[in-house]
Amino acid sequence: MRGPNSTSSLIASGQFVIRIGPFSIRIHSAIPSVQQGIIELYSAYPILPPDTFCDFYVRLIQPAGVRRFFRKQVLFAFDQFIPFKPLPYVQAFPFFEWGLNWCISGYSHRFLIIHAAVVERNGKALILPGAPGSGKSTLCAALINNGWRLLSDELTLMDRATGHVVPVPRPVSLKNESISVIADTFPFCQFSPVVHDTLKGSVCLMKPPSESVSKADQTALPCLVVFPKYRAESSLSLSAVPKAEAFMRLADLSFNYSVLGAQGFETMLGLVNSCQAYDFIYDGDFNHASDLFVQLLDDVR
Amino acid sequence: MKWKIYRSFPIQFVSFGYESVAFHHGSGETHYLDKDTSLVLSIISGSEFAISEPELLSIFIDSEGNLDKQSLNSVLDQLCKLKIIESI
Amino acid sequence: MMPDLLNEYLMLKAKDSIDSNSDWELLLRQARSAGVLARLTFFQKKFLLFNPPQHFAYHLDSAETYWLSQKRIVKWELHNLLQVFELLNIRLILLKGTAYSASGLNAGLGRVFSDIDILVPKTQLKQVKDALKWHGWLPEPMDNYDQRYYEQWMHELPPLRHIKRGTSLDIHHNILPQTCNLYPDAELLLKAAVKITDTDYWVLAPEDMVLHSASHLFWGGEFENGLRDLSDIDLLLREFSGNDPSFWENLHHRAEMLGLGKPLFYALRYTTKILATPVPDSVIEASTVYAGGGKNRVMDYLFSQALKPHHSSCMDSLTGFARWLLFLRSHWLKMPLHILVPHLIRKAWFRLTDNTKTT
Repeated sequence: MRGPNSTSSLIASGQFVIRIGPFSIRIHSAIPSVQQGIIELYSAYPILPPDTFCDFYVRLIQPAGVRRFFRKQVLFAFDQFIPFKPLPYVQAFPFFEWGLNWCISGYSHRFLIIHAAVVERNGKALILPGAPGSGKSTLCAALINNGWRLLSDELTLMDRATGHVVPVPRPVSLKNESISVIADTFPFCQFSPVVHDTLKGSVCLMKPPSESVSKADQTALPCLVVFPKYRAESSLSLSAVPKAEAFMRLADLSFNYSVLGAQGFETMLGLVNSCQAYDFIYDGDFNHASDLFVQLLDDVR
Repeated sequence: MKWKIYRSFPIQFVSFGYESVAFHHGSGETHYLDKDTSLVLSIISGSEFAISEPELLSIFIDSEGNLDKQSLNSVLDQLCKLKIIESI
Repeated sequence: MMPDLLNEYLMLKAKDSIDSNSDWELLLRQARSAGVLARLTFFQKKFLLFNPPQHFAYHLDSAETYWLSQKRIVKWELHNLLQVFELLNIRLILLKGTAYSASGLNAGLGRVFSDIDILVPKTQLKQVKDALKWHGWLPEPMDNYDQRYYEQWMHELPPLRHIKRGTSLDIHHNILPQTCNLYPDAELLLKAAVKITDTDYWVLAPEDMVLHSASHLFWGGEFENGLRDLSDIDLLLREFSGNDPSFWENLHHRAEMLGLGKPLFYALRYTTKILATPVPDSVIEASTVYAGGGKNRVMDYLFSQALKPHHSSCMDSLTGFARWLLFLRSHWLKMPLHILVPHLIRKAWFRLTDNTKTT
């Protein structure tokens, strides 16, 4: 097993290559928190030789000048392109995660990419689209500790050619109250340090179960779309969403639907035709939610 | 005024029960069409010749619809703004 | 120095010796930063120039998908613009990438461009601007300095943006600014414009299209997409000369008539040197009448540096300096000194305060 020292030096020299779902990613950073985050949360991922063809080359670097020392900042670079303004240095590891999401969702038009968590059971995929306030990541984190396999917590990749959901498992991103909820409910999970005062509030990342990484090459058939809405102290409610409405809501939540044009339309048609869609209001009872979803999934086909 | 499906670019629409979604190959936009709009559009697109408002109203009433003149005008106006139909 | 793989491809040569994954990844990165990844897609699909492994091909497909979406957006925009121009009874004359794409030229394949460029006679500018405003194309908000810069010195209006669609439109009344030491007669360009078959769109005559592209690259001073722009010229020259045997002669005469011999000289010199464009020796020889005395070696060095892909693997420490010199030169060519200095200071200030750029 590779020691952390050698991983750190590989990351520092730009020779660290990792396989995440269908992508090979080259990660280059001299920043300790980035190296540490990768060592801890990506330990189960296949590490590839440095001369592997990489789909994305990402760097986390410090800007030149006074911001190197005073009110330190960090920049995200996609090869030589810097798409975002700098963030506070302490946010380097979450910045890596957000930046990588941006790269994948902007440059992988082989897939229709929906802003949704997606989990799998018995080869069938349950898609949880992430409108604001949905609590999808929290629900996703709970489900994957309850027998569901994580395919993704942010980016649902629909393969345009096959109509299957392609896994791209990554650490699950949690924020604010949901951090303590998940940490308390599943104390055996591994988490990154919490970073405060980001644009999303306090954030932290949960290590994905190793099975989701080892089975990352196994795709799933989309069967169920559930639009979650977390509402404290409400009773559980499930209501069917008509397909035309589901189509439009999913298109709105897609990163590249309009870029794909007619192809996007066809792929979305396939998705909507093969899935039942529901609105789901819940109060945070994960077990109840999971049981309900299992039942719904079993009823499919 | 007579109406026809927009001729410069294909309009692709798919029904789900009474509602439909339409993809405009020119603008690249996708639109949700409610029950009445879907029916009006399918009548116009199914007609070989350009179709006038009185004709539309009578076909509509014959099929399943319950649409008055004002509502029909509003549907036609919406479809025209989206460049899904055009007047001849 | 890492191999300049991108140049090899843009020379339309099949390179069999790329078989290492590192080389493929480097090519991907160079092509992406040079803005020609989608163009490589067409080199592969239409011209069957090379056979990439699947992992590389996925990126070509993705770039092509993006290009198709841009093409669709432009096509729709032109469709809407045409309706306004038909009302005005003024020809809709397309320039640059818009023209290549609408004409179905090879230079348009895989060429992604964000703005639409059109040419309007100076005397009809106000009429066009007013009609477009009525139909939703509004000028971008601009401070007084920039406003004056455009009105006094530029050959184009400040860009318009469509209020609903967000697309950007550049209206030119000439192909170079009027303060430039080279200022072709716009009337000649308009007179020679040709209609694209089976459409109501117009473009510049082939020779004028080449000269415009050459002037834009060698007098414009912006080299961020230099290699891509040079590749445009290369593709235009190859296609036009292939279609018409008298093209080279027409090009030479036209350059003389428009006073654009110098840009032509540079275009022929650097497309042949860098991209091995098949220009007949006699044509190159004829263009040397426009060559500056003795400066060639310096310009060769500057331009060959500036026209490399903007990628760290292709640059050495002098490349940035060469680009800066050429940038200065282009402004000197375009502007009197008393305007140039304050303008450059202002531009430099904006560049310093904006750190969302490339490393």
